[in-house]
Amino acid sequence: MDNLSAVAEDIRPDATVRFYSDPGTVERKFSTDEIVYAPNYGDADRTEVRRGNGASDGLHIDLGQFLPLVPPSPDGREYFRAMQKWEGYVIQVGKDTFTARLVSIVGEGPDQESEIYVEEVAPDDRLLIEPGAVFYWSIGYLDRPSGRLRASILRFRRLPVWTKRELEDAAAKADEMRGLLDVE
Amino acid sequence: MEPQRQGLSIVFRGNFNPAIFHPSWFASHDLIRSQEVDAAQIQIVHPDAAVFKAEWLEINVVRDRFQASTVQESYYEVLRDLVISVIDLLSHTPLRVMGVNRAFHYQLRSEEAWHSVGHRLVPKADWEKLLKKPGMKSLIVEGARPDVLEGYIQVKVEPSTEVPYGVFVEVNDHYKLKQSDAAISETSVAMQILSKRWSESMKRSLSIAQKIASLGSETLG
Amino acid sequence: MSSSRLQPPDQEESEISIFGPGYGEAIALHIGQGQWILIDSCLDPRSGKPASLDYLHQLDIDVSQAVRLIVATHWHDDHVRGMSTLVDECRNANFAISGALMSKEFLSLINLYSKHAVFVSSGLNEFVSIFQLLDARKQHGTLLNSPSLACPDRVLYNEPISLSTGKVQVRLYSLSPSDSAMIRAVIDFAQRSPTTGEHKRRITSPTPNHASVVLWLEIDGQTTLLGADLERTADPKAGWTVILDDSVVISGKAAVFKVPHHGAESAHEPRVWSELLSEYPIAILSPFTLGDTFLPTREDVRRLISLTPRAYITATPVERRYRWTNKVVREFVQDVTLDMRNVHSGWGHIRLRRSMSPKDASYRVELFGDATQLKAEMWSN
Repeated sequence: MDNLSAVAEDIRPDATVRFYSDPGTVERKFSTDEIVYAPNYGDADRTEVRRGNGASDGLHIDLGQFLPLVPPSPDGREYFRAMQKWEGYVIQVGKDTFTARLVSIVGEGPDQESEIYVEEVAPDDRLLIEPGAVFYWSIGYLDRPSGRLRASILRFRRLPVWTKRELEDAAAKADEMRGLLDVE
Repeated sequence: MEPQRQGLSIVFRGNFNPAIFHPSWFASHDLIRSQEVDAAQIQIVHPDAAVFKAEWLEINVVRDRFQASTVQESYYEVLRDLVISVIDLLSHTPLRVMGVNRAFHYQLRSEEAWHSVGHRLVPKADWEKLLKKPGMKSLIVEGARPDVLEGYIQVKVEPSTEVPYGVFVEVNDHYKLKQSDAAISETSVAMQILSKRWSESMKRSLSIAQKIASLGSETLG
Repeated sequence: MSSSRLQPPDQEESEISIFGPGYGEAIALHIGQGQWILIDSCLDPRSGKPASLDYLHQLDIDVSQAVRLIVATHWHDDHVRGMSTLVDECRNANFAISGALMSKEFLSLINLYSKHAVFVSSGLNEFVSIFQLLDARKQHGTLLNSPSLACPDRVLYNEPISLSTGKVQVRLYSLSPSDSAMIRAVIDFAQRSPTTGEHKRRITSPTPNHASVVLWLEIDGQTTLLGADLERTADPKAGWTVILDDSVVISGKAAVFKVPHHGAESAHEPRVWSELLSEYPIAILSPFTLGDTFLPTREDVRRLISLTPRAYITATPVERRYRWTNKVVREFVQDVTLDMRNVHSGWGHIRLRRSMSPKDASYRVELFGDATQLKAEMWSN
């Protein structure tokens, strides 16, 4: 399928969909089993995916009969409003606590050193608690359709593990740097 | 002034293979928790589109666009780390541009304050000669980047559809990733921006949004 | 802050300034005629800027011309934060580092970690930026000299200064790291290198510190010993022992001593005091807090005071706790943590100035911010 993105004027069975393509407009016919992605511009909740109906005059395509593959995304989101957020890194790990340095990202206060209870960390994250591990800690309000909660969310950073290629590339670049800086 | 709601999305334009962006792929690289994967609501994962939601995360990928977003401020840096990981793992994916976009819904104190934002941004005197009861529906303004990077900053302001007497402000921090030095990959440029310019991007977007929302303050200035 | 702090030194006045918050240390040396040498770097917690650079800016000094040399005595976080800014702004300064930091093992580490810069600055991030700056200057043809590699008895700076009484020679030597120490450091870097499949995380600074650069400054016979973080070791070819036994550039005894490793007992070598220092030298140091490590300890303070009454510290390592104005934050901090305290227990600046002629002029000691004379009763630990 070409790299076309579509803007739906309105999400209805007989909606007119205008296509924009990069670098310019193209004429396309869409067969009934092709999938057309149609985000409603500026509103990701209205994302729908439909099948084409074979009609195209280049700029416009009438979707006509369509088979909705997915319903619109439901509302009822949760919104977290941070009053304080830190980025931290672990210095020492004890049995029930770990010690970390914290730098404020949102909110107030100078750099902190804190001894945090391990039980405040989600079980899935506890294996990540090691010296040097980075985490984020937010304190604020969680607004849900059912009401407002006070919340403290502590989340450890996850990055892909080191690959052999990365280690080899770093070593090769080190040789280059030594050469550039006249080191024998 | 504090926003009532806000969200963040990181968007790339490039060439993607949506089929790989299944929640299990994220879990296999340990990028999100296994419990989050198990609870993920998958809307579609197909060669042409991948759309799923985890508790705090929304992924939306088509062939030429990747978007990761969240409405939970506590996860902004987690989202950034996730996106860095994705482009690091898929370092051969051609990327053209990146947008770090923040959206805010501010609730103003009164209808009058709400109208005053529209009046300040789009003065009505000339419009009233053309239209009956003109009102600002949507305004987009674009400015040059304040740093050495290529791209632009684009700001959209609309009446909020989520918050009564609310103003919606979206700030698109747009970066062009292609460099004149072919030795520097777009992926590494994106990773450096997300790592080293994150804080300034976040502060700038918030500052712009706050200043626009404060135009509606009843004690102006 | 006293307004006299912003008075620059006279052209014929030498200065040794040490800056220190609760975590970090930096030294600025005025060697006469408006010329400066900067050793290490830390951030002033009040401004977030490199402390020594901030000081020179406040003295209205053009750092792009006045700073002749920057020395990184080792790569630990507490000695290098903000150093890339120093290198960037002090465009005409040469750069000297421990020889171990030009090893392939260390440069590999830098390259690995340059991919994923963390928000919280680390020593490696600073070196990534420094090498990028130097490389860019080399590409543009503006790099004055390649970095000098500190090793035993190496001359890092040797220039005459014109005084009204005639010329005097200013020499700065590195006294370490020894070959044995460098090998150990390189092995340590190799061991710190991650392996395939390992999680990416922030690298932590090792102890003890074998690759540290000790400096000997001579200005027309007046000497200063800057001990960096060098610790004692059983290896006679490393640590202080090899300096005491093998150095050939040391002559005379130092009147000023920057106490190594924040006064820790592990860095105390009695022979340094008896063989390299004059009687009752001026001893200067900064505190260090990290986790359950507080330096200097009460015992360290007692020991230092017994060796010289003229001991000064940039700040006293007392615990300070921030009072969160937001009630929700305050309550969660109390629930989620066993303890929480400020990293920076204070900030201070010790300044020593003396006339370069006559030769035997004594130092004038000035204390700014939380800097104070060392007294045992101030310590609670």
